[in-house]
Amino acid sequence: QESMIKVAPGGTLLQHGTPVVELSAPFVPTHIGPIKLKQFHRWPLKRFSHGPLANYNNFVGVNPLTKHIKKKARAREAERQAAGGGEIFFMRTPEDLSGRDGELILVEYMEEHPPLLNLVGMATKIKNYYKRKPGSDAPSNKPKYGELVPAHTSPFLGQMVPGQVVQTFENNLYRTPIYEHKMPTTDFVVIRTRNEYSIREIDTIFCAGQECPLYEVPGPNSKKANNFARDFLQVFIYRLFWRSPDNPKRIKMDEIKRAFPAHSESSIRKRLKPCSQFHRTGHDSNWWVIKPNFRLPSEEEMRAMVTPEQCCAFFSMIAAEQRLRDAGYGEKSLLAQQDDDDEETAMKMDDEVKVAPWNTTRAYILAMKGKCLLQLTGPADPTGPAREGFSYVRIPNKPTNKEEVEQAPKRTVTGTDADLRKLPLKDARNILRKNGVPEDEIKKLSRWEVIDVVRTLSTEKVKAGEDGDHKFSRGNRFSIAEHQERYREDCQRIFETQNRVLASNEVLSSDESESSEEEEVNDDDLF
Amino acid sequence: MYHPPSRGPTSGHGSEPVELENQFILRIPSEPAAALKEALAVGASNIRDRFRIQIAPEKDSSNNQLRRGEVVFDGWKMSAKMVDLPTIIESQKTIDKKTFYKTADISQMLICHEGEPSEDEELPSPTKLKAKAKDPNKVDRKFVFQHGVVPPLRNCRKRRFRKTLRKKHVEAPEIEK
Repeated sequence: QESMIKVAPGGTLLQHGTPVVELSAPFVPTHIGPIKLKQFHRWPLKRFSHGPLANYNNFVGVNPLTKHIKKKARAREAERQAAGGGEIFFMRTPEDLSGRDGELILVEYMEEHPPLLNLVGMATKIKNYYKRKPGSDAPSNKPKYGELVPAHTSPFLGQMVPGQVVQTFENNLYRTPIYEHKMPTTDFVVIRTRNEYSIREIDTIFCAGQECPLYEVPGPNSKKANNFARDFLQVFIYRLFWRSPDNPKRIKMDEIKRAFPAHSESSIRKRLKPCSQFHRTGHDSNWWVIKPNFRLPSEEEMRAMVTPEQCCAFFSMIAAEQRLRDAGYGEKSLLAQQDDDDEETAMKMDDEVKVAPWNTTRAYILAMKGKCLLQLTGPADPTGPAREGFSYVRIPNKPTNKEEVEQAPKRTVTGTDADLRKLPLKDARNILRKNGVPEDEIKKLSRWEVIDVVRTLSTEKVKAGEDGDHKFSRGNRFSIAEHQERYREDCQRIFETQNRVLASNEVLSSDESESSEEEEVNDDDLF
Repeated sequence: MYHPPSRGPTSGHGSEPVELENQFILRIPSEPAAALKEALAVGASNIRDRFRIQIAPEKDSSNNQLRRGEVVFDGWKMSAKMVDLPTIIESQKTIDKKTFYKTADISQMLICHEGEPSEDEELPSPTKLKAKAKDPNKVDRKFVFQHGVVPPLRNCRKRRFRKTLRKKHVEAPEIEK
């Protein structure tokens, strides 16, 4: 059943805001330095060197947005009417992607470091998965946001019960259950630009649960990561050529170097050479001029070469690398990869590396394809001491009996007197007689049926904890089924716990008190 | 983070390069909050004059992040500090209630209370000063907020976030590129 859970988001296509699709700055940065990587998605307030907000000792009036929001809504409606109604894509410019108009909601992630996060300008859908109840096609109360999607099979690790609705935030990177909450009445959102402050009242804030990744984060120095870095640079160069007003089109190395300070000049030259030529002298001296026979790829082709999703996954990788380095993990740990069928390396891998997004996203996606199971309880559970999340660490589909492995690693039967293939039929029948199997029953059985009974009897005795020689016992025949059953139960328990805890608006009284100084000191050491 | 000068077709109108807007949460005491809500709801046009914000770096600090502020609304004079939230909050806009476009990451909150900032916060202890001297990028504890905004994420730094295990024997440092 696990393998039936769909990994790819189904249904309608997502269209991101145009500035992001075109990978234009500042929506998609070309370089993120160490300080920004440490702050990944936690950007502090910018200080401005010029503009009305540059002098921070000044008081600045705050704009209400009520009128602006209405004006924008009317303008969009007018455009829709002018186009003859229907669906129009409105997110075409940076201004369209501002939080100053439209309806605004907040989504607070429960994970400290969600493995995948959108860039500003990227699109997400709210999907309300609904498990049909016999006799009714729709839930009794329809959520305010999102579209209803029938969930024939659960899109989560746990199963849904008939009549249940699970709201999710879903895009090309991940799917995550969300839980609606009311914004505290004391809280507002302030939007700050270089020129002004504006304020908005917010009604709804969702709490996002643990992400179900739909997109793999590449590993450090993997082929995927290196190809991305190459293509990202290449597409930047193509777009730079497109913007050149000259004929023939020409660009300067300096502009590329400023955008990609981490790339060596030789690696940049490598991307320039196939499409352009460097002029040392003459009219175009110091310019890279496009070759006359080179056809610049079209915008569509460039969009296909590098997607915003690839950028997000790559940025997630470099941010996690930075966190690992800061915690003292060097190149060797970073490059540790878990091979498809190598459980040994997984055992030796540091917990912090197991938790890295390239390992957790891969583990989850493989598990959804039925290639492995997940550890469920363990270091990659993002809820830490609360133990309310899933640990996305790969474990094999088949049970590994830990005690057995520890006591007698690799118990071989071949070539010993425990080899059932070499057990004479006469001896095998004797074993059955000793175990009280009636003679006429024994006579009816073929050789392999006799052997089967020997194995079953021996295994049952081991299971019952009887002493003696049970050399013919073989691991529990039903253990795979039992193993999977236990796995399903664990998934279900965690799924239900998350749904209950994150939907609850109860404030635990023990959390009200300020934490003790002592605890905070410990926190410092850990972080 | 380097943002090359935008000149593309989506980069607005020539002179001023595109910048992402900052967003943060403003938390004010319930009395002025209710009054502010009322003013916003009726679409009062003079809010710009009645409600004003000032945010500056902390005095006598080597850290130049914007941390201390004052917020004035009608008769209320509030002192404010900008704290780092434990969580990442996405601000998402929609026009059809189905598809959402991310407008910002929110990770800071301006907490306001009436009157002057309290004494203990004004005077950093000598040990804290020492710690700051070590690493100007380190966020002072008084600006590290423990709680998320939604009820289940209260106290999540301690109660929910998994703890990072530092490696005891740091692997040989790499050569900076």
